[in-house]
Amino acid sequence: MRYIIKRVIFFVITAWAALTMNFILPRLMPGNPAEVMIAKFRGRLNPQAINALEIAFGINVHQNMFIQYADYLKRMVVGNFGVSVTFYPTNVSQVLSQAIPWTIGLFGVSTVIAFLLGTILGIRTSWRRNSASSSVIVPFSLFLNSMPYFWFALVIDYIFAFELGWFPLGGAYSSGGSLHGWALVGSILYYAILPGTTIIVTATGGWLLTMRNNMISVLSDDFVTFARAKGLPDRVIEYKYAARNAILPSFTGFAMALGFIISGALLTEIVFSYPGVGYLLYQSVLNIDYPLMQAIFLFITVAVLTANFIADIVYVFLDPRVRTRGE
Amino acid sequence: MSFSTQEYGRGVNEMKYILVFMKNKKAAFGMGILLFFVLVAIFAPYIAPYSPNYMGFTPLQSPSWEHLLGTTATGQDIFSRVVWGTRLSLFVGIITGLIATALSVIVGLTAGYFGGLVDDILVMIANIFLVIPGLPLIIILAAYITIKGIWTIVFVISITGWAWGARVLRSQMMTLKNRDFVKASVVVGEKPTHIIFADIFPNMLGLIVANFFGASIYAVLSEAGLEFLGLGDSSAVSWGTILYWAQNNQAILFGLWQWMAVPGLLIALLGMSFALMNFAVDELTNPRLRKR
Amino acid sequence: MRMGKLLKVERLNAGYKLKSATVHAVRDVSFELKEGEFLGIAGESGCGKSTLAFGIVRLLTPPGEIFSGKVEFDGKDLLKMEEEELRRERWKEFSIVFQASMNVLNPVMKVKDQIIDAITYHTNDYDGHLEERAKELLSLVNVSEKYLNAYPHQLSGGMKQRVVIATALALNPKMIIMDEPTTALDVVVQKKILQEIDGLRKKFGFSIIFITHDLSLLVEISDTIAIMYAGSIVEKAASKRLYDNPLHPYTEGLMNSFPPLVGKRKRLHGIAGRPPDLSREMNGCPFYERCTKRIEGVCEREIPKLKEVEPGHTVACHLYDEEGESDAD
Repeated sequence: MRYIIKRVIFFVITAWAALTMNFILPRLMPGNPAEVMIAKFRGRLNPQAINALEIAFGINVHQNMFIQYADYLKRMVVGNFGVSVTFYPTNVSQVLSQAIPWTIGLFGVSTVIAFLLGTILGIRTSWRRNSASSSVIVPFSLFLNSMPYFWFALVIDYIFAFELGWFPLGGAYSSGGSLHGWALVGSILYYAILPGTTIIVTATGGWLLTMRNNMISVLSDDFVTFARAKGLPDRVIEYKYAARNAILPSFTGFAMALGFIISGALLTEIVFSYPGVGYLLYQSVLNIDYPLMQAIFLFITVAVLTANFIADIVYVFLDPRVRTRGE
Repeated sequence: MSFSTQEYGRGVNEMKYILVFMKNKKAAFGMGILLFFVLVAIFAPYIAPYSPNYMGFTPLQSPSWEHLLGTTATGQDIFSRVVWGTRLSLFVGIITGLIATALSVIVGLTAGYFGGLVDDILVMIANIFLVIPGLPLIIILAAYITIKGIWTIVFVISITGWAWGARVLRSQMMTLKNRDFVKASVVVGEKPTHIIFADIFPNMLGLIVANFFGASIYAVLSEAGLEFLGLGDSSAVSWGTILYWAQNNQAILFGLWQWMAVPGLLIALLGMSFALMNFAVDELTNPRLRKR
Repeated sequence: MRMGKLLKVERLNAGYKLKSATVHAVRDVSFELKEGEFLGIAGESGCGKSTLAFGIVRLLTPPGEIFSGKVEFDGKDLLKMEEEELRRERWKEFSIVFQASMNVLNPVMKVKDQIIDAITYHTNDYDGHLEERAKELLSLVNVSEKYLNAYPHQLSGGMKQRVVIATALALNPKMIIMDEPTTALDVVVQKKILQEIDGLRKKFGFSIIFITHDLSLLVEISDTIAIMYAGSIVEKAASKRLYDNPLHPYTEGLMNSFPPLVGKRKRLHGIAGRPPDLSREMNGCPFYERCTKRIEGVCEREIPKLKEVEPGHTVACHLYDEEGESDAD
């Protein structure tokens, strides 16, 4: 219980920190991004929009900092992120909500697959440490893990989409002709294969190496030797005794791992022009669309915090030592 | 029967560790790659046939003997750019790695040693930076800072990359703090600076070095990512900026795959060399991971 | 009950192959164990007794390995058995109790599940009554049944050790090897657990090999005591005989190191010096450096062999060589 409360507090504090960072940063940075932006779009934005921007960035405003901050917090909590510069005059929240499902779908599914694949392979390569598969898989994972994600995306895009023409170059689904129902679903899946593969391939390596290292550590623990002494079958020892304990650190480090994967997913979306949050961020940066950028940053942070929180809860179920008070 | 983790004592023999490190195959391979890149960077003016910025060649040529990797959309020789780019990519990677590691060391050691409120605050800050995903934060920061340039990149990446190492070093510091040889120093009345630097620090060297390699990988990949997105200094010559221009000029559609593939491959190799050395240091400090 | 030979260890050599050297932790060890016998093996830290224990039941993991020798249990050669057959024999025929370390029980499994899985993977005899059997076993070691559903971190050191002992009894094995089972516990609990163990042995008739560095524990409880030094057995006899008449200088030294509870006050002597490095070859008696009764010219040249000096009392020491036996000079 205490544990969960601590995690909730952490969630709230970090979310607050992210919000505050979002508020403070534009005001702190050398050079005034708001003025740059406003100057750039002076001709194109109507006075209300400019006014909104000025308020958002605290220029030419006569309220003091704290009132602005309170105002800002109020607006953030309600979801009023202002108007997007890139997609003017659409609301930022609208723009964002259209992109979110794509990212969650692509990214969510790929991550789960990568996690399962990496964990299982990590277990198997730790058990027989000197086998041929281990000596191939491990350096291979090492390479995959150090490779820039977007480069891998570019490479497979080039080979499989451009050269071989097996898959589309980009986008989320076929745009020619309107598709419905299963045809649409099929098209979506088809378009998701290349970007999904990128994420899976690049993310698996990390999980694999982590799990393998944890397993190797656990396998030399006393209770594993005792399990062998009891004459338990190898499979049982591998999973019920070793893996079951080795997987615990993966959950405590979940947020960190997620952070890396998100970065990769972002870049993958950009390469494949996949209409998710990553691609949106790219566009917003190109257009110096601060309201959109801020909103996306907030969204990503909250999403990671939530995922992390869920991982923490799952951890409670997996490790009895945090459940009970112990001695 | 289990083997307990190495007992660190006084007078850790660093020379011995370095020798064992070099004998490790993974480390040797990684160091080899790194050395190769360092040499290329140093001797770039001699290796590259042309100036990297000269724009006088016929644009978008395929590889040939005059232009080993072809030319860009603005008529620059790709091979020369790649060779010269080694300098910046290496520089940013290593410097940023060093700065991030320095930050990790300062925060981690302070938090671990002093404990209490100082520790709680520092850990909270580190956790916040850990949870907030790196790349989005880097992107936002880079976008806000209107002064584009190498040092912006270094700053932005260092700021986001110290947290993991700080946590790891803090744990190690807390373990070491309770070892007998440290308590002995405390009892004798040594000053904290002496205890931290003379007693504890040598025993953490392995971990700090591993940290540096990890931070460097992060730095190299982040720099490439930033440049690729156009948030870095597009006029500079690094592997990341080459990729940026390749993407911008749709190299893929023109079939100039090598414009894309080669810088990316080099980034991967550099990252891998750090990863290998990191792996080797891990094996050194955790005997359980060693091959039998 | 046959009073036959249950275990026969012949010239066992085992140790650790490290990069820098090979440690010969168990050197040419031979002994026999009868059914129902309580054999204590005593020696200081690093003398190889744990390696011996693990070696006998093939639990050594790399870099540990068995170099040569024979281990015959109930007529079967344990060292030559197929992995799968050995796995089936485990726990049913013999079980092992580890040192009372913190970590012998799986932290994420309930106590009862860890007792039960030792049973279910070997026999169907208790199907349907598994939980009852677990309760029964816990009561044998005086642990309340409410701990069946507890997790290891909720138990004290003594309780964990009792749970391990209960698990060891689960399939009524013929032999239980106990490697320093009470070392990490406080003295009061130590004594209690020892008495419980002895009581269980008398009740169920299994043999025990009890390994410890504390000779005083064994003197009252064992039938036989073997003293180990630097990887070899240097003396073996019935415990009372050993206590009254230790032959090997090392044993003498050990006996003089702890005070009797009753009797005159004696001055205690320790044994000066340290045990030899087990990664080195030994040309003579390993105890030579520390022996107050050594024979120059003989003891450092030839390794003494275990010989029966009196019925049931063997010792490896040149002091007891018969005339003309030594090959030196």
